[in-house]
Amino acid sequence: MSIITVDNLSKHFRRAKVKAVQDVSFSVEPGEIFGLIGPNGAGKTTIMACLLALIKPSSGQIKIDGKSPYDFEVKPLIGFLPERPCYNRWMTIHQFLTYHHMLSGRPSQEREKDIKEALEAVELEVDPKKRRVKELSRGMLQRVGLAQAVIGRPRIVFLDEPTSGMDPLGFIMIRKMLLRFKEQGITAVVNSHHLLEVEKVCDRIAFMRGGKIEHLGGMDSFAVQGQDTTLSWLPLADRNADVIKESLVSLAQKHDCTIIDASLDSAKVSSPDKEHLASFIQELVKNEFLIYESKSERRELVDLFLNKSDKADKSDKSDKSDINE
Amino acid sequence: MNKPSLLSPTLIRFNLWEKIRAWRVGIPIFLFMGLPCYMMLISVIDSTEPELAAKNVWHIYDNASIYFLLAYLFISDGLLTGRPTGEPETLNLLFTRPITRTCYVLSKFFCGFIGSSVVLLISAAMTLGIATTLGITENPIDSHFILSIFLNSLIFSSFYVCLHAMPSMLGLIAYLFFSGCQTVGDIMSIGYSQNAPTFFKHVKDAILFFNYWFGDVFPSTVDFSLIASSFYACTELVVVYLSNLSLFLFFAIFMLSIREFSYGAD
Amino acid sequence: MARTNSGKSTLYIPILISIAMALLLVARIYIKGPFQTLLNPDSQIGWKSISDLERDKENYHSSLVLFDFSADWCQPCKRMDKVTFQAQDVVKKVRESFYPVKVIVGSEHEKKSVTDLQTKYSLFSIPTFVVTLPSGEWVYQKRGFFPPKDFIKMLDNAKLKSYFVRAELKMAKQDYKGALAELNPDVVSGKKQIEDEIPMMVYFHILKNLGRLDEAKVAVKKRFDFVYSKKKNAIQPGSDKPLPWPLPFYQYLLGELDEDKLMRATSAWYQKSEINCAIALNALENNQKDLALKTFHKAAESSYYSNSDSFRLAELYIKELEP
Repeated sequence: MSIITVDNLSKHFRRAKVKAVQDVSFSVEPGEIFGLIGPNGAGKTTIMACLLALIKPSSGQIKIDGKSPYDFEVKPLIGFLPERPCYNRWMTIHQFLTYHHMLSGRPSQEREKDIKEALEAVELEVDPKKRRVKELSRGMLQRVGLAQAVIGRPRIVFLDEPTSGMDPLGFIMIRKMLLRFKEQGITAVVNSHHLLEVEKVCDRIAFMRGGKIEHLGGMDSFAVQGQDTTLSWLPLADRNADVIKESLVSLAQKHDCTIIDASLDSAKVSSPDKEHLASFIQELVKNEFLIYESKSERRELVDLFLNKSDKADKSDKSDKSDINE
Repeated sequence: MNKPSLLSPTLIRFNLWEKIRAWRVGIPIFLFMGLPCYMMLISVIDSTEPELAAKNVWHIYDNASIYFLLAYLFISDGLLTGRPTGEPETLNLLFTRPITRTCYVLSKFFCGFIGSSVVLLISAAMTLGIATTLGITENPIDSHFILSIFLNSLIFSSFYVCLHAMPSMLGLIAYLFFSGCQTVGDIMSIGYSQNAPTFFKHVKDAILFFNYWFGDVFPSTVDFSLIASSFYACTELVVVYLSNLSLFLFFAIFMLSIREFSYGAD
Repeated sequence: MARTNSGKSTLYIPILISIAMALLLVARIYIKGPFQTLLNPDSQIGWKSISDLERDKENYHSSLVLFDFSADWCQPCKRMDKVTFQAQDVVKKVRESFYPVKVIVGSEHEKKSVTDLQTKYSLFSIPTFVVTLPSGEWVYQKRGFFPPKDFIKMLDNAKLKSYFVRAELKMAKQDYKGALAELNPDVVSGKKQIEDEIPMMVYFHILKNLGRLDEAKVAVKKRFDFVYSKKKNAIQPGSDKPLPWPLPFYQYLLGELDEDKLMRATSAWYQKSEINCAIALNALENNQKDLALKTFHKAAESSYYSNSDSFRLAELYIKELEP
């Protein structure tokens, strides 16, 4: 059974003309790391706020563990890292974590242990009893926020832009943390436009644009859509570069592939999916290309994200207004 | 599994104990506690009529702004954060925790009430000590005095909780409107006109209308001995008092419930 | 209200609060609106109007007049009606020794007499309570809301002060024996100190004219010592500065200070007025009638408001002395 189900969720804010979220449906399985990606204003944060019962959906239904997100019994199950650090700045780190530990209803005898573990998990190396929240840098705040999100031993964690303000070490820490969630069977919903960490650990990703989910699926389903492959072959003595290029282009066209770059002994090919690429390679071999290496450069999700955004921009200009307004 | 409770021990701990421990709130609170003692000391020593001076000092305890400020200190995080409105954005995170909005309002209200009444009672006890040492035998401390402190702390805490629960702009407008309605009454009683043109008389009537119906929404301190003095006084004062109390708590919970915490936007 | 509550089991609290709020709101509107008169019956004090006062003038020589200046729109006035004037102690006290007159400021009824009274007692705020002798001499005045306890205290003070005003009237006619008889027995026997300057001066001059100067000086000295002991901290030893007010005034009565020094002892206009009264009374006793009249005029002028002891005294003597 899915731990989170969203059915035809829509939300429009009174002051904005367009809908922030339109008819979005998806579900998240227990123990899954679910990524919500998309450009700014795509409605990711709105969906998250609806899941957390911070804002009320205009229509549609949300179930978390079979209950409404407004249900009191859902609250102890969840941990949340907000996008903007909206923490009680006057508290010391220790006070702040105590505050959230108490709020989450965990037994008080485990408090010190939980706080210690959470701080170790986020690799925060400052004295939690001396440093106040307001004295922390952006990256440290983010770590405190993460510690806060896991302090109540939640079963579902909502992370909104977990990497913002983080250094590369922070990226690694977050990846480790998400992997640990997987081990412990904790469900995580990660909302991001920085994709490095999402790409590596997410089980499934929903790509959002203009309040809608444009694509939903595993990492593979994204990767095959755009794949660049560099093919190398033993030099062909009898043909010059122009001839090679000509024959490559004509062969590629037959199989819906594009030659991005070609030289005497190698070429970079862009293919729509695996099947087309395979048949193209087969064709080349038939034409006496002695292929010894095929290096597939799976495109970064970021590039895809940019392409998709560009495409969407061209096709759908009306969605340009800021939805979060 | 947790059951929703009416008062959150966490909020109470962090609004009372942890706040007093922080010097930014602790020092003003101790100043508040000590101020009447100090006033008693200097005004009695340097006075031709110490009994009268002492009596005037005791009037500090029916000053509305004292109650309002104490409610502010205990309910808002304003002083701790250095921002007058406190940190309304922390509510986003708070309400993802197992805490109902009713519980939030009631806990804050409770903290304001307990905080300000305890501070004022300790302060009154200290002032009484000073007065007795200086040889003032007459003091107004009786059950009515103590009850008045409790009643005033209650009404001012509920009022401040109501303002606190509203978005800051709306809270400010509500504050200005109701305090304005109350103040115009005082202003109108200073000057009066015998031969003003009709138009001005109508304007005056309109102002007085607002003063009559909304002037007592902004709480003023109640004196329990007044309530006890006559049936007529009792009926009106008590109804207005209770009506204000329920109005503030209702609006606090209501405003917090319809507020949307879309934390992605300001 | 459906989504007011994320928790199911605390839902009853906001529901209770909203029901209570609705009921109390209705009650409040009723009490302030339709039921207002029902809950606010006529006071047992039995307020009279200004025309009643004119009519009854002959019959209440022994009592004082209590004016309550109020208005329809004045909230503290209404509160006085609802709270203070309902209290039994207050009702008893007022009926015992006062003739209560309610003056509605701003109403068309008796407009002229109201305006006259306002001018006469320099009124600039309501509610104001003015106590006068039946003949119209100002005795005492307070403004604002008073709870029953304070109001009774105020009435007592007014009554105590009225003895001196009556004595003043007799004194101006040089009937010193009669004046002494008007005074409160507690004051005469020395049980009670006289707290204000003008009453003290009146008392002093009555005794002086009856040939009991020593006794008078003892009373003033007693008061002087009392005030001195209280103001000790404010006095720098060995300095030439005059003592703080009202000590120079008592020194003058005791003959320890001359007029020039007294004039230099203060700069406040109301104290200047008191000083002028003292100088004028002294001049009168030395048979310098013209000087006295001139100084009384000065006293009346330097008293900014017509509701002060020195103004009343000066006016009284001017009426007597003016040819």
